[in-house]
Amino acid sequence: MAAVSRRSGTHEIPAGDPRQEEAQLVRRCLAGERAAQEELYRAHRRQVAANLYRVLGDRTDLDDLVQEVFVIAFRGLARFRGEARLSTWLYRICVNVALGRIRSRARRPPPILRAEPVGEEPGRSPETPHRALERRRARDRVYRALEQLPPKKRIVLYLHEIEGRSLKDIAYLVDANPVTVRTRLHYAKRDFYRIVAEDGEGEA
Amino acid sequence: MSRHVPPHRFADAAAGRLPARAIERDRRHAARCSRCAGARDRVLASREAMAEVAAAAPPELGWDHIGARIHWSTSRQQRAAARRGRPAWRWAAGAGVLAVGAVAALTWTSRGRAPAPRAELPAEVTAPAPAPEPAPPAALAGVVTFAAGEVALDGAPLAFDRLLGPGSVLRTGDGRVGVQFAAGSGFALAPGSELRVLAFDERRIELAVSGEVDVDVTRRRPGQSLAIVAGDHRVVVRGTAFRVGHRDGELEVTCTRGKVVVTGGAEEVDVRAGERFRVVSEAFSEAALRSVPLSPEERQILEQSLRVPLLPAFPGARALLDTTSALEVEAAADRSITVDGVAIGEGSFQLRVMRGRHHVAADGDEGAWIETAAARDRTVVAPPPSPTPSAPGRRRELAEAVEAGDRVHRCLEPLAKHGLVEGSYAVFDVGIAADGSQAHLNVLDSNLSPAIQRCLRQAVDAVQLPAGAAARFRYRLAF
Repeated sequence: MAAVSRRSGTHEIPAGDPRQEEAQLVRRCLAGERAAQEELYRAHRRQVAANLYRVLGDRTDLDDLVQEVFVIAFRGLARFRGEARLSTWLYRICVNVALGRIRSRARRPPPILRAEPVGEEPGRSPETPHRALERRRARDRVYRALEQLPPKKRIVLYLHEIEGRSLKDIAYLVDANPVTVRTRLHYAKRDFYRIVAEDGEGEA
Repeated sequence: MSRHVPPHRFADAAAGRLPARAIERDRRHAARCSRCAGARDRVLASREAMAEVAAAAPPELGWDHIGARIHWSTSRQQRAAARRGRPAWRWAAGAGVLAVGAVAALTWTSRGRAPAPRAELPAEVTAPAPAPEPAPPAALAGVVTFAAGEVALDGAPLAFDRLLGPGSVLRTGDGRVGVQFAAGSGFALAPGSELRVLAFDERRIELAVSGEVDVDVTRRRPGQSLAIVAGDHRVVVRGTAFRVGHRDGELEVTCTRGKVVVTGGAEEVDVRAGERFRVVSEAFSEAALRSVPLSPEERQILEQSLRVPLLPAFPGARALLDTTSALEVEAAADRSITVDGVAIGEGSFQLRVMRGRHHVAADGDEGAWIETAAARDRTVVAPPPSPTPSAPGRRRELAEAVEAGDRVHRCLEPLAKHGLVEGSYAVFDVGIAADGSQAHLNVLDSNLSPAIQRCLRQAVDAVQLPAGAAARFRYRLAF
């Protein structure tokens, strides 16, 4: 049985649970073992970058933000209680970092998503330029609408509508009460889809 | 017609979050309401796009570099915490160790950088590496591309074809010197400065400077780190053009392109293009921990004056010596020289040029074409003397009259507020008539903004000399 220190007592993790390995990794990191820190960074860096990239829809300073997430994580690793997966805990930090980023650029022009196009499925015929343009417009419309939401609403909407996360998960990630999240989500959805519906209303 | 359907209901319907009856009611409404039908189409298209957003692949990043920065930030914090309470003299020693550790960590991280990015964080510098010893990185050599005035290399007057390597010491008296060490990369040392080459290989370049150095780094080798050491501070290059001034314990870093990071002890400050960072008395204080933007005028002056003489190609130091020539210009101190149309400087200097024909002109005259024949050859050019070499008396009269007034100083007030007056200059082509009036007055060269040049020209133009000999001469107003 592995044990991870908690704020109040000890949180027991059953043997065979992948969290047990994570708990060991965290302990090694806390002991200052360089190899463990490397392992943690290597295991989660791409997911952290992907989370930030998708939430923000922009790769500007992405490397700085990834660095910020891991620095916060390593400095606060002692506070990791093991009640969630390490990836979820890192996602929570990503959300906070992204929120800070959104707030800091609130007055800048909205970014255009520069994601790599999703790869074609095997055996599927290549899409027409017109279809590709439509898809890009739709993606841009999503981020334009997200940009117009207040940061907290934006994050909640992103996590629910795009990531498909449950209210309970979102409550943990944004460190809020589930009822608060549900209320916030209701207004976020109403505003977001209204903006989407009105965006391009005059287009043919 | 019933009320319009709120757009988010179309999303809820698509996600199966509405009962079938409600979905059917909305569908019927949209069938006869073009506005709601359009809204539904856009909402559904957006939901499709959301699925793509959720699956969007993140861009590939410099993982090793990020890892090194994380390690640097976290270990620095740990060590800073451990250092609290130690005697002050140990703080300074610790800061030095941290600085060396950071550079070594960066170096270590990039050692194995291959086409596929590595995932490892840098190893501790203090820990012995268990792996076999890697081959030592190849040493670099710097080629002197420009030299004017009093310049010494390793304690002896500079020989133009001598190379700089690890341990070299460059000193300038009243002169300037430019050195190139890679394609598009080099530095220029200002008068009254000293530069020591602490490390100079394909992994790490480290230059300690006292005085002022301009650095232009267009490209670095993959994984190569470059740092300027100025007292207790380090200026770490990210790919950039910048100036470091370090005199009497004061550090000033100004950046025209890219970004540099200044570190001192446990603190670090980013200096981006168009920003200046200044520290007084070798210590980072809370108030000083940020860079400030340059005014447009300051930035223009900096960009005009921050020029490192670089050759268009760098096939290697020795190969460069074999394929280029030294062009030596011997001219009076007040004559502005251009080579191939580019203003190089005033007075005598040596310039490294590609072999072939070059056009050398003085004070905007017609100039002459010079053939630099063989490699490593020295071609001496002496521009014809000024039109009226007997004008020193009139020039002295003009200088005294200009300096007696305060108009010139008023022109420089915008710069004086920022302490940027020193080093600025303007060279005038002056024609004095026999009655003492100015027959013509042109600005030939200056590192000042056009507005200040105009102001200075008006200040000089306002001077009335006593009647005497007519003369034409160059007048250099330097600050």
